[in-house]
Amino acid sequence: MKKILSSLIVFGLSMLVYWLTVPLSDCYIAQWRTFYWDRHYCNEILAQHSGAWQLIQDFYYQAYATTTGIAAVLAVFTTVLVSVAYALLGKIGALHKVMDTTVKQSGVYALLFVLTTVCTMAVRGYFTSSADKNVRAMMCLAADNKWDTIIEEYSKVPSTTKLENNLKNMAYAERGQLSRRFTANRHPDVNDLFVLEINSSPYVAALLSDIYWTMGEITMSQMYAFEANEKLGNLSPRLLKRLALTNIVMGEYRVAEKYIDWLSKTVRHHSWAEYYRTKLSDEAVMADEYLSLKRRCVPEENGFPSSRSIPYDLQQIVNRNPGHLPSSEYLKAIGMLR
Amino acid sequence: MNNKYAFLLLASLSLGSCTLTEQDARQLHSQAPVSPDVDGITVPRNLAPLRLAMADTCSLSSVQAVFESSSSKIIVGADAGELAISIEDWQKLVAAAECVSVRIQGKDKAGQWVEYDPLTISVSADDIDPYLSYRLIEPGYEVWDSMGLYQRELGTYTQKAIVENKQTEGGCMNCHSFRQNNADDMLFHFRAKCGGTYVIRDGRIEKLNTKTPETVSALVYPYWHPSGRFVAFSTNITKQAFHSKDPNRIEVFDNESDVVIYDTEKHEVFSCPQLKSQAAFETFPCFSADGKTLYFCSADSLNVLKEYDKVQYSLCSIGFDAEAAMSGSLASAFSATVDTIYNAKRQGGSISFPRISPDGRWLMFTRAGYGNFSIWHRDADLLIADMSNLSDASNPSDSSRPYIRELTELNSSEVDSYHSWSSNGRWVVFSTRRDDALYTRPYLTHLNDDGSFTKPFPLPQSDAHFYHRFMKSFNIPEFSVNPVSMPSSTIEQCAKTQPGIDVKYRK
Repeated sequence: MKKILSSLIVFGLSMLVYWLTVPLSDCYIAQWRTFYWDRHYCNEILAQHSGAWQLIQDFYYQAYATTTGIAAVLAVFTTVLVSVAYALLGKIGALHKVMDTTVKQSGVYALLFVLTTVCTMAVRGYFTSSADKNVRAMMCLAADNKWDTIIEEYSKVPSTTKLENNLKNMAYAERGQLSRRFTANRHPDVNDLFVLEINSSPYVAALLSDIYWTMGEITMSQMYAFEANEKLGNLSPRLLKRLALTNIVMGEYRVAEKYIDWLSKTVRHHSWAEYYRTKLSDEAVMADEYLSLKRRCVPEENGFPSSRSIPYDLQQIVNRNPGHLPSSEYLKAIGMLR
Repeated sequence: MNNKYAFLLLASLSLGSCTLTEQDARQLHSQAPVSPDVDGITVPRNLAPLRLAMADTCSLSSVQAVFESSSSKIIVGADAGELAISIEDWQKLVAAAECVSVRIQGKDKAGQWVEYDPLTISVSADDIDPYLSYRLIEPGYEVWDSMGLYQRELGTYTQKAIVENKQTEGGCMNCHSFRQNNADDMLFHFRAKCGGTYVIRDGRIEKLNTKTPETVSALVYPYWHPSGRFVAFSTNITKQAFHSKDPNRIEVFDNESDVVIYDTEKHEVFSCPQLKSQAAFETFPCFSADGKTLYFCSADSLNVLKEYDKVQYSLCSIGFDAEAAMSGSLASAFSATVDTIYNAKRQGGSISFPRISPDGRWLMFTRAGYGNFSIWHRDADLLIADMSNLSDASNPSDSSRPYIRELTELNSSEVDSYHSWSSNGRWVVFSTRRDDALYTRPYLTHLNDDGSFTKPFPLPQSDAHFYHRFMKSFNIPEFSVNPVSMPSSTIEQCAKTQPGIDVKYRK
């Protein structure tokens, strides 16, 4: 009983410490990898070189969807480590005299807890890249459409990269503030809205997919999502969601269902997948405010978007679908660059 | 002791529960909700069995399938909605049978046994070539990550890599081709990293640098001459663009293209004005079974980006004299005239991928509304020409003797495109996107004596949901009678170390 109580206290305290200190940017990895509860998937991964290790990683990344999840995993790890270390110390006869009173035992336990927690944080910090921390955090917020949080927490933080500007401007566009805030930048250029060079990076391609989705350029959004997903091994949950959505908007329900079926095999995205499974028909799409708004962005006449300019495409979307505010916001912002 | 008895009791109980017996079930008089749809298909004896998946809508429990032929009866229980008969059991069933029936039974909500209408699978005496090669790649746009050329043993579910791009610094690879289904003579291209055309003959591999000043590009679409001495290629300047609304998603088109012949011994390419015209795009060459005719597709050269949907490729042929080509007499290597087998301007559509059956009788090709990259054209369908009856070439509307026929028994509402023949000419594999309109899958079909084809079915996989889960397309499925024997490590070494032989243009 005493051991259980001690473990619970360690778990609770470490959970609190980690929850307070783990940054949102640590959740970034869960955008690209997760575990799929499918025996064929497990078999296929296990058959690959280092497949067992990848499967363990994928399983572990399930917890990385939220900072609470990360804190819980680290807290379990800390609790186990402290308990094992304490048990080992207890078995070393030489220390029996040291731990002969409850106060002393508690002191050793507390010391182990502090040491383990500090070490865990240090190791975690060592293996977690601090580069592009803001971009990573904003990408996590953008994945959940938390535009207000991006604006609240990052609008006053000076950007160090164009990618940060891309994310902030996307949030502004979603909230109808882009044209008002864009001129506040010093010497803005088009790369502040959407980077023109992706350098084969799937993460930048994923960001561009989000930006084009916000703009209402559904085809371009799908193209970048597809390419990014391909580069990331085809099972990025974030990109599968984008592919499912773009295909639903384009009326490609069978292939959308394929992506939805994958997502329904995850813990984190199962309910999302089941919700959008109900949208696999024209009637359901048109009855859905968000999806129907996006569908109205699809041009009536076919063309090659890549052979035209973005402003031209945006103007067409604005003319056709004036209710899609981000398109007009981006159009106005691009107009300010001229 | 008690534990031992308990263990034996549990073991016997679990064994007992695994024994499946055919049930006297009430007939539902409805079709079994399984995928793929196997009812009425014809399969070869030497093909691995199709695994069946029960639809999610099926509300039965304790589902089992009773496989029955004249020689055997096997009952298979459903495991997580899948009915997977083993290869060994399937071989027992089809060993001496012409037909297999599959009856699916299960308990309804009231606990009563019910049974769907039986599924019937015919077994053909014609064997299928034991290997199928293809490229696996995402149906993507401009970038790629992992891809490779793979070879599947059709009697089992075993797939081996011929070569993967992780061995060649991540470059692209494409257009694998065998000489008359013989994998000992093979070629393929690597693009970007380790770029070149790789030709495997007589157990040796050589790397070719195939761009010449006289050709518009490196060599592209190949087809071996039956002698093995020559390979017909197209040379293409290919571009692609993305549709903003069109269901075809992507448009791939040629701004220029010609057809040339590669001499494998002299490392030279040559052509003739009829195959290398400025006024036309020539592409997709294919030699006849006797090697005396070269089929190809030809379209008027247009400003493709503006008029991409007006480009129509006709199916043409030209005589080819291999003896003259070997002796270096280019003037007499090709016939002076070009015959038009399918006139796209008159008959409509646009033709790609002519492929002749090994006996020379049947010429199968793909027709789409326009253009030449039919895998992105959802209206692409398969047609067949009976080359033993060309009398109606000028009058295709004469339905009494349709020498060119749409293969309605094979075609779907989605893309039906690339195809190849087995060495005995009785089986065809073709690429289709009928499953989900995006990912290309290989489907198999049998040629009947009357020129019709049996109901197509997907290449069997070890689990029934494989195609729904799989995120890559099967490109260019090609049968072969033997495996590719060249080790992938040898290909890798050649790609990384050989500078390549510069191919010359013979004038």
